[in-house]
Amino acid sequence: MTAAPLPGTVTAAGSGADALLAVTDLRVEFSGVHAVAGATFAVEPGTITGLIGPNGAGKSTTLKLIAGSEVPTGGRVRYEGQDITGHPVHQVARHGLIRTFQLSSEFARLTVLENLVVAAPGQRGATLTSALLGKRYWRAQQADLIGRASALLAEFGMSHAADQYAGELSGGQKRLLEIMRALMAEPRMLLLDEPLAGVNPTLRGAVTEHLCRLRDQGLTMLMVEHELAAVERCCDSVIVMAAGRVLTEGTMAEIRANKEVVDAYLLG
Amino acid sequence: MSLAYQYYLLTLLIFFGVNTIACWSLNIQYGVGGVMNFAFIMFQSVGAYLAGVLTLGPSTGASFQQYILGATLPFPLPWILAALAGGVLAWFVGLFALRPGRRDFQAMVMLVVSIIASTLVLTQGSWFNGQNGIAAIPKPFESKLNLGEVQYGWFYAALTAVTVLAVYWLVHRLTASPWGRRLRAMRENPDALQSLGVNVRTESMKLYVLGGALASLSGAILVQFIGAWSPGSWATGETFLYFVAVIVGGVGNNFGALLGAALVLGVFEESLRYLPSFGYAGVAEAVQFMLLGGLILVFLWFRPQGLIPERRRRLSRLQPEPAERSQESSAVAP
Repeated sequence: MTAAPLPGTVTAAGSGADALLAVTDLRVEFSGVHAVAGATFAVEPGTITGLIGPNGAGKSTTLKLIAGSEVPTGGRVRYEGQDITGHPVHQVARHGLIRTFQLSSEFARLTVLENLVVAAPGQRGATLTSALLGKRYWRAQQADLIGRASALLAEFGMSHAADQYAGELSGGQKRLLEIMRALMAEPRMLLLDEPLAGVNPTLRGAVTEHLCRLRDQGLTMLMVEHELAAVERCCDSVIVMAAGRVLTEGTMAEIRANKEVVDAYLLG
Repeated sequence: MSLAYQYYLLTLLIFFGVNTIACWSLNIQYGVGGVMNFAFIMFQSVGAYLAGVLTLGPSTGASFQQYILGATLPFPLPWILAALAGGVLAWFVGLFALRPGRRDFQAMVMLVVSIIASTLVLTQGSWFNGQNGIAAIPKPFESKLNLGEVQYGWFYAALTAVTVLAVYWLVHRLTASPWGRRLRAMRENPDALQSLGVNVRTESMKLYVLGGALASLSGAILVQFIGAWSPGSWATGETFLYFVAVIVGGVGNNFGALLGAALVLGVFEESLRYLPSFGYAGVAEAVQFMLLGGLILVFLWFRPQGLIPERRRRLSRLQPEPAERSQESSAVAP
């Protein structure tokens, strides 16, 4: 099955040198099902790109293929000009490309602060050998990290929960924790898989605000989301996927005017 | 105190020391890192066999026992080599058994490996003397010290105690470190940790090797005290005995594991010894396992965190400048 170029995919040809992430003709099939069948798009630095589409369109799978937790059967993923296709998850993360999960994936029996501190890269004493060097070797740096994590908690209004077990948080708080944890990993780009799922409407607004603010600080994001209002509010450009391919790309206003998209949502 | 009573007491103490090291090995693997080592008893036996043959001297072949790797090494080389062998074996098993994202698979492969190893040693008589096992293993410094049996026993108990302290220093240092925190995160959610840039396979391999080495060390200490080792000492089911100890004592807490070693492997096991014998031969032993099964069910149901639960680490107390913190968090700080 070859992907005939669809109207709209042409814009992806602009995935030139300035794109932070460029995905070309990405494919994967699971026992004959083409979950992603030739997706091509690019994400410009300093933007939030929304990835929308009906259920089963291959959005989450695309994210997994980029993050390395699924291996593509074809196509290329380039990040900062480097080919990272099929790289293992932890290596992709070490490039600063950090992914969050669709389902809450907090470290339940670690406290909220521990959840954040554990995510920091290049930690002293975080390997078997350096741990043996003892507290004096890693204590000062850990204190700095705790300070950074506490500042982040204050920013997201969750300072009161610092020493609570992450498993005791509400669903919405867990989503916040997940974003904070990703930020502690010093990302250059975030892959967000439905960051607003299960978040109440009030908090949803707050999370969206945070994401916009992070974008304004220069962080790039690719976000799978069903909550179109939020996508409209904070996404600079939107990619619509259907049946494993990119249907069209553009601003949310352009997308809304596109009949094909409406059809995909209604029929898909 | 009569000599017999003293000997009983010091035997209990040495067993307690050995079991404590064994439980710490399981605790750091399972309690902290979430790696269910169902092959635990295999690692303990490897340490025991190796420490045994490395002190027995070369196998003459003509005597009542035959084995491989025989040598006469001075203490503490047999213990050190036993621990190393446990680590190497763990590395080898880990190569195909460790799948951090698939704990069920991982546990089953380890159980099967343990059964295969047990069967091999039992049937390959030329390795470690088959089902008769090895016996008459010399004790460290016994010939030089020229002590009475009880006096020597106290010496060995002291040697064990020193080793227990050294192992505590090691496991405490590791579990309290950022690496320990990483291991706990791996226990909670390996996929999430991996997506933060940590290679969980490598980390669980290091953990598995460390635990394997400690388990083998415990076997080495035990074998040089009792002086013999045979396949009967390492039936696959014994692994679960140690799991019961760790779960009852407190998963993820080193003092919990120590308490579990004392209560389950010490008091509980020892008190069953005083039960009147009844029924057919072997019935009492079967009842013992049933009681252990009951114990683990009771704990998993009513107190899954164990007697001394894992400590909650309140990191907010360790902030650099508490004065600068917002009101909320300063209310938490002491």
